[in-house]
This record gives sequence, C-alpha cells and structure tokens, in this order.
Amino acid sequence: MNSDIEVNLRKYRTNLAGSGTGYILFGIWTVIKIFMTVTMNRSYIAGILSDLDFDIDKADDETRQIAYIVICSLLFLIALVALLFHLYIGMRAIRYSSKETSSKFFVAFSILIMLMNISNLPDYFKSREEGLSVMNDRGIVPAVVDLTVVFLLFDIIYSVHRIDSLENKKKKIAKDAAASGIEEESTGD
Amino acid sequence: MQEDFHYYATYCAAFLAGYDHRECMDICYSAQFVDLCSKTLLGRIKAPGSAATTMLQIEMMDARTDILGLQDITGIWASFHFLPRDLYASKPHRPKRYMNKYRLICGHDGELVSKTVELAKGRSLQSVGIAMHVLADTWAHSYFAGTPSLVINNTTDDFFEILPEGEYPDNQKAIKFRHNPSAADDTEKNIYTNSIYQENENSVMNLGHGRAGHLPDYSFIKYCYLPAWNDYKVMIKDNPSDYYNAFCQMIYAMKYLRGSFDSFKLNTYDTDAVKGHEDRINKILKTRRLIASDDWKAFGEELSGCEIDNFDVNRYQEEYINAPSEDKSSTFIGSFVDGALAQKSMVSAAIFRSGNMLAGFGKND
Repeated sequence: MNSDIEVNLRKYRTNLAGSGTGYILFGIWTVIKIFMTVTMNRSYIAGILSDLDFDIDKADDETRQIAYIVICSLLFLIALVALLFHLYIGMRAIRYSSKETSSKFFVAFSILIMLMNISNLPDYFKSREEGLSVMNDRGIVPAVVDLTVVFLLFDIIYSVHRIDSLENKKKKIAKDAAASGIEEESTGD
Repeated sequence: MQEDFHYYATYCAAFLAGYDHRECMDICYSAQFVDLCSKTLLGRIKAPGSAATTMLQIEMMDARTDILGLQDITGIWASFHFLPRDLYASKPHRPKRYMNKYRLICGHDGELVSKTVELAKGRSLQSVGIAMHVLADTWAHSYFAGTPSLVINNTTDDFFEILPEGEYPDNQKAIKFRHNPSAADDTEKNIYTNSIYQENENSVMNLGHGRAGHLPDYSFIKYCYLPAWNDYKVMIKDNPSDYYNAFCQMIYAMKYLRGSFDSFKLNTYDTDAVKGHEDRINKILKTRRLIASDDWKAFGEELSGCEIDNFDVNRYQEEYINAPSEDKSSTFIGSFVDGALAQKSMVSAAIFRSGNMLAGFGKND
C-alpha cells in the first residue's frame, strides 16, 4: 500500500489530474481573452481587416457590418477550437489519471502544442518598443502565462511517462513474484 | 470520541482502576463535560470564558481566523481534543509556517500525554476526568491537528473501510461521503457525512477531522485514507484496536493518579485489569452502530452494581450560579474550571516554548 511504486503512482496521478485541470482553466481563459479583445478593443478588428487589404473606411455600412460579423465569427470559431483542444487534453489527462482510459493519444497533442508554445517564447525577449515583450510592461504577464502553459503541458507529458514506467515496473514485480511462487511450489513437490 | 466512550467507558475504566461509584461519576461527568463546556455555556453561568474546553458550531462560524482568532481556536482544540504528539517533529524541506502546523498533529503516547496525566495528580476528580478525555482523544483523533489547516487536515475523498478477508476485493469497501449534516451516517451503505472542501488554508472547516467526518469517533470501523501531510502515503486507522488501547491506558493512568504507581509511563496499557472482560469490551467496540452508550452503560452498571445516571449538562450549573464568589472554586464546575485552565495553560505554554505561536503566548510553569 505504501511501497515506493504505489506512493509515486499516487503522486504522479495527482500531478496529472492537477495539470489537466489547470490546462482546462487556461482554455477557458483563452476564450475569455479573445472575447474581451473582440468586444473591448474596437481597433483590433479594423486592424485585421486592414491586414487583409480591406479598406473599412471606404466600405458602406452594410459591407462593414458583414465584414465585422465574419471576422468576429472566425475569431469565436478559433476560440472554440482552442477551447476544445484544451478540453480534450485536460479531460483526457484527468481520465488517464483516474484510470478511466488507457489511451495516450492526447500526449501527442500535448507535445505538439508545447513545442508550438516554446517556439513562440523567444518573441517575448526581442527588444521592441511596441508589442508584447518582456522588455516593456505589456509583455511580462503574457510571457509568464505562456511559460505556465508550457510547464503544465510538460507536467502532463512527464507524469504520463512516469505513470507508465511505474505501472510496468509494478507488473514486472507481480510477474516475478508469481513466477517465484510457482517455482517454490514445484520444488516443494 | 463520543458520549459512549467519554462518559460510560470512562466510568468503566475508572471503576476498574479502583475508584468507587461516586468518584467514577464525577470523573466520567467531567470527561464528557469537556465536549460541552463552551464559552456560551460558561457565559450563561457567569464562569470565566477562558476555561472553555470546546467551541459550539455557531461559535466556530463566528470565529475570526486572523492570528488572534487562530490562537483562540488552537488553544482550545489542541489542549483538549487534539493533543499534539511531538512539538519538535522534523520534516525536511518545509518552511516554518508549515512546520508550526505539522507539529500540532495529534497522536497517542506523546510527551504531552504524560504531562496531562501528571498535571492531574493530586488534583480534583474533575481534573482526572479532563485528563481522561484528553488521553482518549489522542487515540481517536490521531493524525489530525487542532488548528485550522488545509495542508494538514485535508484528505482525498478515497476512504476505504478495511473488512475481514473474503468479503470484498482487496478486503476494502469504498466509503462514500456526502455533505448533509442533518442526515445520519449510514453504516450499512457506507455513506457518511464530512465537511466540504475549503481551499482557504485557515478556514474553520479545515479544523480537526472534519474531512473524515465522524469516522474517527466510531469505535467499530477500521479504514484507510490519504491525509494531506503524509506525502501520498496511505494511513490505516484501526479504531477497535485504538479504542481498546485507549481504555486500557485510561485504567493505567487512573491507577497512577490513585497512587498505585510512582510514575506514569507512555506506551503502557493495563490489559491485566480487563482480564475476563476482553470479549465483552471488544464486542462493544466492534458492533457496527453509530453510538454504543447502552452497552457501555450496561457494562458499567454490572461492574459497579450501581445505576449510572444519564449525562445531564445542567446538573451542576445551579450549584455554581448560587455559590458565593469565594466558594465557586469548591463547586463541581468551579473545580472543572480550575482543571481546564491548568490544562490549557500547560499545553499552550508547551506549544509556545517550542517556538510555535499558533496557541498564543504561554506562561512558563
């Protein structure tokens, strides 16, 4: 009950459940962030449209409204997809930790998203006067948030790996114990 | 522990230690009164509130959890219901704030148990009763601390009753918890009430064994669970065995208090005194029900041949209220108050001397 293997299994299952829950919460935060950006930052959508070479000042009202609706819909769709990714990984991690599933496909997604996040991290350390950078006040919090997400994903991947190796060790010990038990019986005959 | 053990079982232990019926009644009444002597009750009879040995639910709801409030709470609960086992325990890589709470974890046969018993030597029967309550609770309330602390007193929801071989896989049956204080615990379906998870470290909901519900107070149950402080190791709590040892240790302690021994030694249980009664006692402890008062009462009455009055919290209050100021100390409750103040002072001082401010400042002995 309190062997090293059992104790470590409990520890890594708890870590996995905790990291999975944290990743789901970050997914909800991502949706809130996109919602706040769209609704409170009016120039954001105009900026996207100008990047697409759409001159919003020259368009009539109806065209402008349709453009806004399309962009907002796309942004909310992206938010929904991001949330679904977070929910998938987070809930799979929680279910894996409570032994409700043995499928580890979510680990592949976790690795992919972690690498994507890591590849974006250097941008925070570029010296820029505008934009998000740790060199100015606006970049520190997003940098810390992204680092935390990387840590959560790493914890999910590492915990699954440790749980697997501990479970394999446990099975091997049980198999060896059963084999030595059978040997003792046969030598006793 | 509940009335069945603090009142009736203490009566039985006192009788087996050599006290007569009247003395046993005073001792067991005092032992049970520890669970009822709140500031509200003391205020009603104009007794000093600092002698409170418990807090009512409503008092706890109103309790502050700033440093002064925590000291007030800890001073009561650690002194009378969750006596710390080792005030100098060590655990690597933990800050002082954590260790202050870790060192308040209750356990039997700690140094403070012997100080509690020795404090009652030469004092009133009420002091003996208080000491027996404290001693008994060190067995039942082991592994929980008498201070609000999430990191010490929290548990997971994975509680399993350990049953005789063959009944369930791994001999374990899951215990289900619900948060309905008005519904009685169901021993057949293994459904019990516990306190709700509170993420605030100092919430009063994280005081003592709330997360385990009343399981520590049921003598019949042997169970395993995962406490927050034990680094993912499962703890097994064998209540039938613990309660039996508590009973035998109470007999030994009271024999010492009567003068049968020169010193009180820890880890010593007078199993000789219960010879011939072991089966009866084990049957009472292991019968699956929420409270065993009737059986303990019957056992006590058989031992002494006298009737044991049911516990009445109001029994001695008129005496105290009507006594003149200079004579209050010689009343029943007055003697109880003196004993409670001495116990609280001793424990608070010991906690303070260990460098822990959670019980406030303590006077040196």
